[in-house]
Order: sequence, then structure tokens, then C-alpha cells
Amino acid sequence: MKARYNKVVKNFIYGGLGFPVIFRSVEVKEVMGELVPNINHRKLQDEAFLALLSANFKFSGAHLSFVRNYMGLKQEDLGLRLGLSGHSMVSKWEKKRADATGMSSAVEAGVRILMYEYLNKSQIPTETVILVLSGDLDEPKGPVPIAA
Amino acid sequence: MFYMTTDDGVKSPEIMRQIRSLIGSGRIRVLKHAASRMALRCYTLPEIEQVLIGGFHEFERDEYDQNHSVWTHAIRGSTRDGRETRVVVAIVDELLVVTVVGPLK
Repeated sequence: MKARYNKVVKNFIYGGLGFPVIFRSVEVKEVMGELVPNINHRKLQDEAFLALLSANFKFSGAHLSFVRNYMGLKQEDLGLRLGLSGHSMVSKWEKKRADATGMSSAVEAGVRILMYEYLNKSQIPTETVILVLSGDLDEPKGPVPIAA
Repeated sequence: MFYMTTDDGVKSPEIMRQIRSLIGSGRIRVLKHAASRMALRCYTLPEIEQVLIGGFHEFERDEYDQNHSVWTHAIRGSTRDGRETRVVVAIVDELLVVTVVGPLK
């Protein structure tokens, strides 16, 4: 069975990362009777990680789980890096799935700083950290926009 | 091709080699059913990749999908956090994630 190449679709919503992302314009192809984006999924994960890093909304449980696994951390590792006693709070946050984790603004800022460290950025954009610390983030809603 | 395995799950070499190669090159796609299972069961793509890379082939659970004329393969493994998981995949030029089952006991 061969995949059939199709067309470019606008505003295509894809749930393959574990949470929805929206492509403004993407080439899709039909495999096993459904359309899937014809993109490199390693690059997609990189793009999603970057999009979440600068997102102006709170992380949902699925976002946090994605970010943690992308960085290759266990729940316990992330908990310890955030100054928590273990994995239990991280597990509780991730179980919120599509809803906001409920973590404090300071902890969410800590997660984003870890994301920057992971990317070896030398300079943390302070406006992002200030925005997070001020608690002035929207609730997670709708798919994460991906430019690709 | 016929593969032998043992009770503790020796990896089926060719299928697992193909899976790792496709994941390494980013040629993995998640079908709608699998995406909904992932959201329901709190899995994300990096976890699914972890299961597929570190898991073993449960060849006795392989099935032939007559509707689409492809074999589906069951791969069982663990996430970083120790959630035992089964991922069903098909290889059609690329690695297609068909469904995700777990956590298994």
C-alpha cells in the first residue's frame, strides 16, 4: 500500500503530539484513509517546543508532559529541578491533560527557564519571564500555532 | 520473514531496526485514532517514540489490516516514568502510529 500525495491545506489541526497544533498552511497526504501532515516530525517537535517556550498562555498538563519528555526528563527529575520534593506534583499537573496545570506563576517561569537552558540560549528574554511571573497569562485554549 | 522471540521479549531485529530508523529521520505520523487515545491516556509523542525505540516486538499480536492491506505491529515498552505501554504501528513508507494502549499492568 502506497501513500497518496495530496494537497496543501490551510488551518490543519493535528493531534499527533498529544495536544492539538494548528498549521496555517501544510502539505498533507492520504495514508490509511486519512490525511496526515507531510512534515518531518522531528522538526515539528522542535517547532512545538519553541512555540510553547514563548507562548503567552499557561501550560496545560499535556504541554508540560511534552516539554518534560522533549528535554528527556523523568517527572522526578523535573520536580527536583524545580525545587520540589519529587514527582508527585509534576504527575498531578500533567494529569490535568488539556486544562491548565494549576502550577504557580513562579514555577511555570522556572519551567520556561529550564527550557531556555535546554536550548543553550545565553540570554533569557526577560519579557517572557516577567509576563509569566506577573501571572498575566491566558488559560490554555485552542491548538498551539505552528508556522511550518 | 519469520522472527523468533523469547518469553522476556527478544527484539525482532528487522522491524525494530526499521522503526528506529524512521523515528530517527522524523518519518513518523500519528493517525487520528491514536491521537485521540494519546490525549485520553496522557501520552505525548516523545513518550511514544521512547516506547518504540526502547521496546520489543510482540509479534504474536501483529495483525493484517484487510481494509488497507497492511500489517500492523505491536511494540511494547516503557516510558521514562515507567508506564508500560503497547503501541500499534504500521509501516507504509513511513511509520504510522495506529493506536496506543496503556498503561499496562
